[in-house]
Amino acid sequence: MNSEFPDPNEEFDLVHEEEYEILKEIEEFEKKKDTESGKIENSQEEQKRDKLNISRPNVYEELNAFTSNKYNKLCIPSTSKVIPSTNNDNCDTDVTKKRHYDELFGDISDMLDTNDLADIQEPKDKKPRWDEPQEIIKAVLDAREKFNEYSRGVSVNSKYIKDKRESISLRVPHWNFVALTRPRDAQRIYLRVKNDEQSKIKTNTHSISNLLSVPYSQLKTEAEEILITIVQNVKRASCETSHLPVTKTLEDDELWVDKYRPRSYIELLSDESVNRQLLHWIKLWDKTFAEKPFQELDSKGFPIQRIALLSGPPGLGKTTLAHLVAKHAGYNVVEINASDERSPDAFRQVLLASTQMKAVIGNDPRPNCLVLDEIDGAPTASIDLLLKFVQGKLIPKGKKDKTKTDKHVCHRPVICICNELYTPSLRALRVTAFIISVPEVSATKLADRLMEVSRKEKLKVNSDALLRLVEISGCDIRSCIGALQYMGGVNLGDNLSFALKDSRKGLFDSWKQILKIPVNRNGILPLSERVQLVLRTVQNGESEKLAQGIFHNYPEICSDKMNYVALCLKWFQFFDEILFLVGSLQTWSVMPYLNYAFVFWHLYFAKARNIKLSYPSIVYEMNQKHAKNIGILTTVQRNSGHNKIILTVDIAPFLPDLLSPQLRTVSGHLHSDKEKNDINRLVNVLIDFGLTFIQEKNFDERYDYKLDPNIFEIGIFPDCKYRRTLIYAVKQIIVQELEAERLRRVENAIKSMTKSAQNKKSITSESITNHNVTTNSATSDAKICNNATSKPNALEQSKKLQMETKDIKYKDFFGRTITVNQGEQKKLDKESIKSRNFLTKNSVWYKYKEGFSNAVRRNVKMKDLL
Amino acid sequence: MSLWVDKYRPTSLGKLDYHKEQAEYLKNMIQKGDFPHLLVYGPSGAGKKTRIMCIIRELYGCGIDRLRMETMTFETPSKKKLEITTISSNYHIEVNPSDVGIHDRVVVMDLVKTTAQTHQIDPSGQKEFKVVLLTNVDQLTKDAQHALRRTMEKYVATCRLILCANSTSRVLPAIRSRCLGIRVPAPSISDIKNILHLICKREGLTLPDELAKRLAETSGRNLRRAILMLEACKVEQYPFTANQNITEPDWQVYIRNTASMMVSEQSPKKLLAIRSRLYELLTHAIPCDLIFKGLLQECIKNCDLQLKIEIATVAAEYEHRMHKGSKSIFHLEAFVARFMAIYKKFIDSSLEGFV
Repeated sequence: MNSEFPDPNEEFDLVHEEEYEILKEIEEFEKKKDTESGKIENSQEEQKRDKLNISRPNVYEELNAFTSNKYNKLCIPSTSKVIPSTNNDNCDTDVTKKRHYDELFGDISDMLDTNDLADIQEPKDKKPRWDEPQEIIKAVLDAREKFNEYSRGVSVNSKYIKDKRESISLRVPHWNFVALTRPRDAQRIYLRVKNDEQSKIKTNTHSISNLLSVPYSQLKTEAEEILITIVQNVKRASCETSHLPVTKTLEDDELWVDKYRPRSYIELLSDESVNRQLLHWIKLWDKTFAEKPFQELDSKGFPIQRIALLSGPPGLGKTTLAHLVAKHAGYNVVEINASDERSPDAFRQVLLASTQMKAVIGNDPRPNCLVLDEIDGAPTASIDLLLKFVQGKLIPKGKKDKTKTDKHVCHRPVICICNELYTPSLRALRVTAFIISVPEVSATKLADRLMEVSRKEKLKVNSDALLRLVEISGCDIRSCIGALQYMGGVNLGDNLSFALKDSRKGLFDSWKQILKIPVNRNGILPLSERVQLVLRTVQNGESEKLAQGIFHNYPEICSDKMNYVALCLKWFQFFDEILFLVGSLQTWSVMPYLNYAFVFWHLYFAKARNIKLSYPSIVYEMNQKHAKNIGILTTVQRNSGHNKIILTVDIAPFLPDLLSPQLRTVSGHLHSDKEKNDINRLVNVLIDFGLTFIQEKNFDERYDYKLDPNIFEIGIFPDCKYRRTLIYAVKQIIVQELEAERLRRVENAIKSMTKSAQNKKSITSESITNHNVTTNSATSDAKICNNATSKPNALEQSKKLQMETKDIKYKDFFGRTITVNQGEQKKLDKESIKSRNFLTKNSVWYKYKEGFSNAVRRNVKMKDLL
Repeated sequence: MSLWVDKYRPTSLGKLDYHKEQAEYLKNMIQKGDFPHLLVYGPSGAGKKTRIMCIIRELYGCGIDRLRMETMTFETPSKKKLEITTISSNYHIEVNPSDVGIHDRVVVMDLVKTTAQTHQIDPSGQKEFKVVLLTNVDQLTKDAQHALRRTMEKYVATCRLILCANSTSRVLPAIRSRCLGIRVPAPSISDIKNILHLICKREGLTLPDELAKRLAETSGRNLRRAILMLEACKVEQYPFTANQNITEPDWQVYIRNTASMMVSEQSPKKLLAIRSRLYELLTHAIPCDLIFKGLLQECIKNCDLQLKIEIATVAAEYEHRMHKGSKSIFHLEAFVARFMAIYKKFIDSSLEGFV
């Protein structure tokens, strides 16, 4: 290190060795003092401050001059000696200021190595640049700033609060200071100067990087450690003082809804039966973990319904219920709600993560229970995914291996929560899930709880006001407690409207409102109020659905008086007419009259007793079925050309009879002539109507032939008449015949085409009629039909046809092109036998290749099949 | 065409089996070369369509036998795609606009216009006009019928419309007056009997006269149904016997049973049971007026004359209202309830008379 010193410095050292020794003594003396005062001073910092001295050389000098101390005597000569030399140096290096500056840092970095050396060199460094320009000051300030940041980063204040002693130092301190000499004993005292610029000064990273050589960082870490401990102490102290009030305010701000959330199963407000239902269901899962016999489990030991679906209006505590029950049963609740990403991909991840893994590291490795909150808002795709997953049909991505799919069966209970059970996206879920509808909390129970809350919060509320609040909020626990908290109970009675929820109600509520006579404490409400109430209920719109529901439910509710029912149904007619006017003619002006129908229904149907309503899902089912049947009719109509109404009313009812002749179940060639005729006729009818038999698997894994399109469904009504149905074997024969007949027709069509092409020279009107007849017979055969019918009829147009036939490449049943040999064509006669020849000669062949065995392979000619 | 109904359908005006006088008139009319638009009406199964096809064949010859079935697509102003099946030859096009429900106006406008606006290119074709055959005209919406009015006059040079309807009551008077109405009455019992015998003769079967009579009666003078019944009987049992079982359409039986339920008990519970049956009928695409008719006919059997009038009036009114609305179940059930109310009152009062 020493070797790196610039030569002039070395010389300098040698010259002033004496003085150095004295300085050393001073240093040691000061060090002792430092340790005595218990001050923790970093030698590195110290050195930096030493440099700072440079910035205040005048003060230093002046002070020195005043003193007449023993120390001072030692000091003064040293400084006075040094001063001229620095001046000299300055003179030398005036031209290259920059270089000096660099050198300075070079020196510093070296000096930092050892304390002793630094101490020795200190004056030397000071002196040469003691009246040096601002840059140095700035550089040093930067460096200091950088250092200060460490302490300031933790807490600026703490630094200033520090011991008072830290503001005064006997040694050259690490902060901004003004050096003073105590006149009494000529002791140098360094006073802290508060640096206002501290915050403004930006750190100069360049200079820092220069400063931060290895030894510096080592020192710095030491410093840091010390500072950190100090700061921590300070922090701890401040925490002890400030923590308490903070938490206290937090507690005050906490929502009462959370504060008074039930903490245990017993505290639940909701109906006990509902709670038990859910608890029972979740307990069924225990089988997965413990060997207990349960009945409602499937073969794999899971509950048959793997998802529980809680439904009910908001604020009844569904989420709380799910969480508590799961906790009660010993599960770890994993919740996904509307705020989480619920796209199918994200959903899948969460599903797999939560149901198939469990916390291994945590201190309570309990199994997870997945709670899907607000599921009615999730996309349908996600719900489908959930269902698939639960049913074990979910094949993991990337893994096609089916043997591993078993792992992906749901092993954990899944509880879904929704508000509206009849959301379309939940349709599939409704079928499979175990549905628990959470009923409204009883008003008194809720009022009691509210009373308890207000007592705990030292609110003065009378129970009547609470009951009223409960009534208005519609037994919404959350809104009640919310209202209670923010109204402070002071003027609860006056500001009740505040607690009103959005008055929009579900369909069921509206239906109930219409079909139930409203009762208050004084008995049945007066008529005018009832009418008002109904009108208000209906105003929300959806009148069509409302009417549908009333229509669906009224026979269960209404009294036996048929003339009332008849009167009410007249209003349904009225309703329908108005709706039609609005819907098809856009006569919106009549729309308001719809609502009065509801009043009428209310007056005639409504009952005072509790009613059970059901959703008019039958309408949807019927629409589906109707659409399906219309689809069948349309296809048949397209094939047969019969009108839809004629089909339904006249033809379809007889088809089941016409298509089920008495046939013995023997192979085709054993049939009698009559039976053959029957089959023939049957096949022809089937082709005419474009019907086929399609092989399908039954529920009991047996094959059966189904008519397609199944026109029987339209013709046959339940419990009307016993009908003979064809047995499987007979149907098989028919299907074979059907295929053969199809082929035959194709062939005929081809023949008639080629024939007409051949007869180009001698076309008689008669032949055309013949031709027509043949093509006519084949109209039902789609492909050929198109070819045949596209031909024009008139004489002169047949020429055009001949042109066409040259271009057309005929395709046979299997899609191979048939090359028509002109020479052969001449030999062809009108008879079908000839046409068979034509077919067989033209490379139509059929290979029977069952079992891949050559033993049974033989060539079968088309001729044999027809 | 293997069903007897199709197989033995007369193909020319000369071969028609009944209403021969009318057939003669039609033949004369066509031979004169030109004729106005036609409105052929009559009950179903009377042979309207057969007659129309005969007329067209008489006009154009055998060319119309080469039929092709096409699906045409139309677009409503609201961009809804409609598909409709048409049966056409080079000379005529047959379409049932009511297939597309309330959008039939678009079909009528587009289809009739495009067909009518294209002139016959071939000068040697027998006639200068094409024929557009619209079936089930009585089921067209008012809109569609209005759209038809102007087209009928405008394109009279290039096309003739033949409208086919069950009854003229739901055809606009404006259209009725633009057409030559041809009524095709249902064949009489003896007509049907003759035809059934004829078919059996051609099929080489022997048909007892009593069975033929019974068939004709149960068919309700609907020839199509009579022939289908005959064929069903033949499949069921041959040789025929005079008192053999005749298959009736299921829906008729079903409606009859429903009506007897109405008579047997009058209560909201029964109404609920009947409703499900009505739904069943509706989903089988049975036209609602047929349901109305069937119910009324069955119910009335149990009523005295005074009641018959009342119920028939009610039924007429309710059916009319049904056509003004769109949800037929409301109207059907309203009728059922009304009948129950009336009938119950009647029964109660007559019981009081006894007491």
